[in-house]
Amino acid sequence: MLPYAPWLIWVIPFIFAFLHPIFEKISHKLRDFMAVLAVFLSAIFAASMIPDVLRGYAIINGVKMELPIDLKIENWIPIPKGAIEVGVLVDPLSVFMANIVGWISFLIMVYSIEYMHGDESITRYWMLMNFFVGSMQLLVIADNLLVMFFGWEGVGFASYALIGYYYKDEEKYWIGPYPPSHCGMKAFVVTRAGDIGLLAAIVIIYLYSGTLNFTALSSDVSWMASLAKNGLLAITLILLFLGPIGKSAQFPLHIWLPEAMAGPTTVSALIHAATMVKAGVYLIARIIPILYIGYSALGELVHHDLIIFFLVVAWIGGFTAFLAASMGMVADQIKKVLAYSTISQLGYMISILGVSGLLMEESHLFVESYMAGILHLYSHAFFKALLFLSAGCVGHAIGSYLLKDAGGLKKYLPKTYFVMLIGLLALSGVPPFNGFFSKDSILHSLYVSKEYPLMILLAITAILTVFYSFRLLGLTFFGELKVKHHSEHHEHLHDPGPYMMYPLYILSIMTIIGVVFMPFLHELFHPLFHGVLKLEVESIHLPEFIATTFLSPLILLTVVIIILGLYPSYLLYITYKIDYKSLTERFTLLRVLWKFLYERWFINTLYYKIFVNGFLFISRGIFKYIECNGSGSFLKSVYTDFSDAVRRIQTGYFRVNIIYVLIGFLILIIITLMLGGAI
Amino acid sequence: MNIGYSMLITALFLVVIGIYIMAVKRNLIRILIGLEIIATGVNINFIAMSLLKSQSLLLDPLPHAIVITSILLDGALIGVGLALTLVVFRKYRTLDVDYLRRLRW
Repeated sequence: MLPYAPWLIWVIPFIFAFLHPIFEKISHKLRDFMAVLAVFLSAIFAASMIPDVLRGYAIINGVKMELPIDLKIENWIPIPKGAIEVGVLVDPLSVFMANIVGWISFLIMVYSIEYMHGDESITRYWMLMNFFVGSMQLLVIADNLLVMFFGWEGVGFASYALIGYYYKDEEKYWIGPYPPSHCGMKAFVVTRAGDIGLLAAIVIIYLYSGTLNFTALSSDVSWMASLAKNGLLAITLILLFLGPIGKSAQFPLHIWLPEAMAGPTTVSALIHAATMVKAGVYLIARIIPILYIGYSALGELVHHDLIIFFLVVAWIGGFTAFLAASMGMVADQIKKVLAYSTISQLGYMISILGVSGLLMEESHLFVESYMAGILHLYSHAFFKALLFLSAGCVGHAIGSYLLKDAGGLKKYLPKTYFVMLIGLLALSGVPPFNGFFSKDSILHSLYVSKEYPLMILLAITAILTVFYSFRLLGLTFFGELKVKHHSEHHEHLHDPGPYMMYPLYILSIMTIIGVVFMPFLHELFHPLFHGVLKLEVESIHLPEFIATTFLSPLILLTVVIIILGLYPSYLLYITYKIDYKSLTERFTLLRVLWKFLYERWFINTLYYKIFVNGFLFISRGIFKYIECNGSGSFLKSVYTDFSDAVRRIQTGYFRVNIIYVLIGFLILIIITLMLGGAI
Repeated sequence: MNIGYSMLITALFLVVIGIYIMAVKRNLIRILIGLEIIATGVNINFIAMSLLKSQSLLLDPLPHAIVITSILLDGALIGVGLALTLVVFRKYRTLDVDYLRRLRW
């Protein structure tokens, strides 16, 4: 570990974020370089912690410390019954997340040098991006729920500001009927709805445990016992889960993520691949070991509540995966398809983490499904960054993200086509890309844990995933070139330059050989399972890992999934053998289904009807009947009469004002003398 | 002890002179000078009080620290004041405060 690595990974981006206005005055090149350097340093510091985690101990100031290492400022702000502490926690999960965040963000930052080149307010962009990365690193490395919540809100703010980056609302940045500033506000408000639950849960946990520190919460689980005795455990945990529901865009609050496409594509990539939406998955992965310890210590007392909680988590995740995948099949924008696929993949992760909680009695299944979620997070980070950045290349070339403007680009953007194909193959779980292995391990752990309904749901989702992946590929790169008549764009119709292509190459290499690192990730998490949870975990080696994946009967399921998804997509969108437009005209059912999915199951419309229009209705009513006619007019007359009377004494002559000052002094002196007893 | 009282009286005179200037003069720069004179008087008042309060030769450092801070803040204050004066002059081509009456209400 480099000195102070756990602190510096989030402090450096924060500091650099506020220095960019100064760098801009010196040189624009320096500012761009510094922005990338900040994230690079953060990633280097994060990577320097990996060896410590693998060894299981770290040497800090000459003292050997066992994992998990909790470095904190004790009694930072004393409050009744304890203190607010700020600290960092070095354990497998936080180091894993910090590396994912750091390295993916670094590649995205390199990409944005070229992508954002020439933007007029790029200083703001770099500031917010560095702030975003810093908040996310704070979130993942924080050692207690409160500091984590600070990072959580910082991420929320940065995403709001970056989604609404094009705040002038030019027509070309609109997502459907919504301008970018509206989209940013929507993301902020919707995630805030979840954060209320998270904050409530944090307060409840603090009231019962007297601490918010993760290690303290797991070393003394009596708080769980007292919560369970009062019948509050399941409710508290579900409130806590509301935070991830909002942040990771799960079912009731998933509506903000498709609109989050209004920002620059790099921002979408950052939100989807590394920061923001992964925060929810991280929080669940963080509390599951604590709950496991609680379960093994308290047993029957908390069993019932935990089962309720994990069932909720698993099924909300599974349902979201299906819901978003179904919407992704009809989305009309490249980035929107990818946004739905993110929601869907997050659903997979959350679902499998929930399932791992259901399997606490059988430790090897628990470990396997927990690791399946982690592996999917890992592979999703790479292929989703790859997909978004290559979508950015397409948008860069044709100047639009609408699927109806794309088409036939394969000849003009061969490199982009190639990297996007890799990303989509990984997304649809085709071997040997990393998405296949992680998705297969999810399905495998669902299979061995006999969660068949969830498994069928997720398998159907996988079929839909394959379908919309290749629909995206076909509509973008195959068929006729539609951008021809935009002659001013035609000369841009080529692959982007090296700053944009090299991150894509690195990401595609990581997507192809991602499986190599999966046994290594198992190794990385040993201190968690072996050290903290006291479980017997066997090491997995790469050939063994690949062999078990390919030799299990589930490989047949994967083949069926790919064929069922690929075949209709191939006919409809890649070879255009069947005209998909006439298909919807011929079958009423398909048309109705298309409308239903295109309107996003009418959930979005419903929310707008209830919350937006309802709020406007109430506030207009208040304005009309209370402010204009009722007590408001009375108050208004009182205020105007009073101020009319008072303003007479303000002559505007300075010497008169001085006299008022003197009168004030006189009164002050008299009061002082009276209080002193002189008068 | 005597020097303390004479300083107090000086301070009183300075404050009175400052207030007189601020009440009578119409030029913005003169008003600012008056403000500075008041500030000087108040600072001297502080030092005088510290002299009167101290029982031995050892002085209480706190009033001195406060006065030094106050002098610093005076510098900042006069900077802002002069900047505003400059803006007023550019806008109205005059420094007469009576012309600024249109800023009321």
